Amino acid sequence: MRRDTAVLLLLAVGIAVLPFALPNRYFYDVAILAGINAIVCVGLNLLIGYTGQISLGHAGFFGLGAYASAILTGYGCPAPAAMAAGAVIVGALAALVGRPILRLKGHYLAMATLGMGIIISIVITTEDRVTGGPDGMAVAPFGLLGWSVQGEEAWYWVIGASLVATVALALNLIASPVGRALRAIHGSETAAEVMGVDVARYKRMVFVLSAVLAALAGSLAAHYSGFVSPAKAGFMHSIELVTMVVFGGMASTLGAVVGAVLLTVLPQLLTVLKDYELLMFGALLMGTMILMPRGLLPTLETLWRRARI
Amino acid sequence: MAPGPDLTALSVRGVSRRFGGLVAVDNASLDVAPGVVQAIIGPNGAGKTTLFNLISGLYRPTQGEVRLLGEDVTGLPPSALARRGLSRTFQNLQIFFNMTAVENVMVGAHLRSDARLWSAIFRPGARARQEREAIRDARRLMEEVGLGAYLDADAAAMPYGALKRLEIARALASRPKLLLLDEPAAGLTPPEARSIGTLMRRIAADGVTIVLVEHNMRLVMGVSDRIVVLDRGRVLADGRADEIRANSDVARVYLGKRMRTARAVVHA
Ligand SMILES: Nc1ncnc2c1ncn2[C@@H]1O[C@H](COP(=O)(O)OP(=O)(O)OP(=O)(O)O)[C@@H](O)[C@H]1O
Ligand SMILES: [Mg+2]
Repeated sequence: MRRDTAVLLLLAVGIAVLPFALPNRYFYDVAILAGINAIVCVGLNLLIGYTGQISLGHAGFFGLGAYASAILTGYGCPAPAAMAAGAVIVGALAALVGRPILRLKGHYLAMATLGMGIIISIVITTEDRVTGGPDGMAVAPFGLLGWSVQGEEAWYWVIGASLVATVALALNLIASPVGRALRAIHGSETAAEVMGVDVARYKRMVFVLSAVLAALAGSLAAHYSGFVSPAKAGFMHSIELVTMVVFGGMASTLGAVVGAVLLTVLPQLLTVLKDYELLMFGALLMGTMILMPRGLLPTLETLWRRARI
Repeated sequence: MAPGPDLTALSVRGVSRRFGGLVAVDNASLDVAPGVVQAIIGPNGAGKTTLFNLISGLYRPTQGEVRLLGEDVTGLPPSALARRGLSRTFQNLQIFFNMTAVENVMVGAHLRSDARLWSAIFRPGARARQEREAIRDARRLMEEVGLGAYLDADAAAMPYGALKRLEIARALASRPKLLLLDEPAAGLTPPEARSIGTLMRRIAADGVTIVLVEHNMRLVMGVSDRIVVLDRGRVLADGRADEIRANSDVARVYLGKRMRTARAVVHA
């Protein structure tokens, strides 16, 4: 518990002081994108890192959240209501899809979630009368009753606060009997079930939770950039998200944040890398699996502990 | 349901389980009275573990019925059986290697914990006291099964013999009425096996009904009230420990060979 509080405090202070180091609006933009990815990754890590269930389709949930906000606000729905509706729709979809596919294990689950993500992105691309098709569509600003979030600085604080809230939620969850049950499922489904853990129910629960977080982040991203395109719902984005989780450290909430931040910031800063972004993600994923399969943060923690002894 | 005079802790009636062409458990029946230590013995591949998997809900019987404390529980999932007071250990360890030893035991207490998503996320304060109690209970249980040296260990760092005990502690954490132990002494040294026997007697004295699958005949003869002999999926004999020892069929199929090798090992 004390360690969790320290992690949360560290993150909040980091977010609070970062603006002093951000020289211009471009850097705010990068920080906001990193924060949005971090929110998705913290949720995805609950599923992949803690519960041991892979998903190669979470960009689909992200995209659905984004398009729900784009489409519903386009029809005059208030932005917070559109965002909530997107979350509810995605949550219901995840619960529905999760029931059959979460029975699958390993490669089979990977393929099924991959298929799910592909279907979502194809539907978004082909339903061009509501989604604008491959060209994407414009999104109204996030606002309510004449007041709205405008400009990079305001968005920075919105995303920063959302990230802190998400991390607090994840830390609380993992430190609870529910979190213990999820980790037990990762360790041995058989033993977890025999100890009274309703494995199917917990898997579905964490799948829905991570999908809803992705949808909420998608809504925020859509309003922030004022534009959505099908790419954000696509397979490549799913791979990026999984890479961030794996690189940062599976079963480490702070690791998921660090992974998301590093892998968002690096390609932006090293513009040379930008053209080879996917290549870099691929190489990084391979390198992580070979050199530090537990991910960056858990590996560093072990090294640090060993250095102190 | 009124507890009649014939109320059994566990009743297996005509249970069979096929795997393709193989009949792993073949029309097996057995009744276990409350509070006894019931052993199930038999050669490798006799179907002992399969029978445990049928009783604990990991497998569905192809036919037959399983009753737990008088209630028909055939086909219920393991978590539902856990809720009714059944727990078990595994022949091939099923440890949560991604957790500490104490956390392993705490998972055993899952059903007594507040495992609702809402309080998990939004009420960490209210939960903190319960968690402290859960940790204290788990540590006490570990000490009781002789794991006092591993109170702060990661499960992945523990030796085989300690992991066998950790499975027992985890199973006990659910406060079971019926405990299935699948070869708790396999791979242990003779002194370790003896102390598992002592531990089992203590658990039984607390009123827990135990079903034991074990190849170590010293242990079986030392702790069991009754013994069932399984051979090729069928119940070959069922009786008091001394009756089984005297049974010539059993000796031929299984016991004679085992007793001799057991002695040979001890005297070596
Ligand atoms: N899931 C399964 N699929 C197919 N065959 C199985 C399965 N589980 C067990 N069997 C077969 O059923 C038979 C009984 O196996 P079981 O593990 O129950 O024996 P056992 O009495 O526990 O043996 P041991 O003393 O070696 O542990 C064996 O022939 C085994 O190969
Ligand atoms: Mg066996």
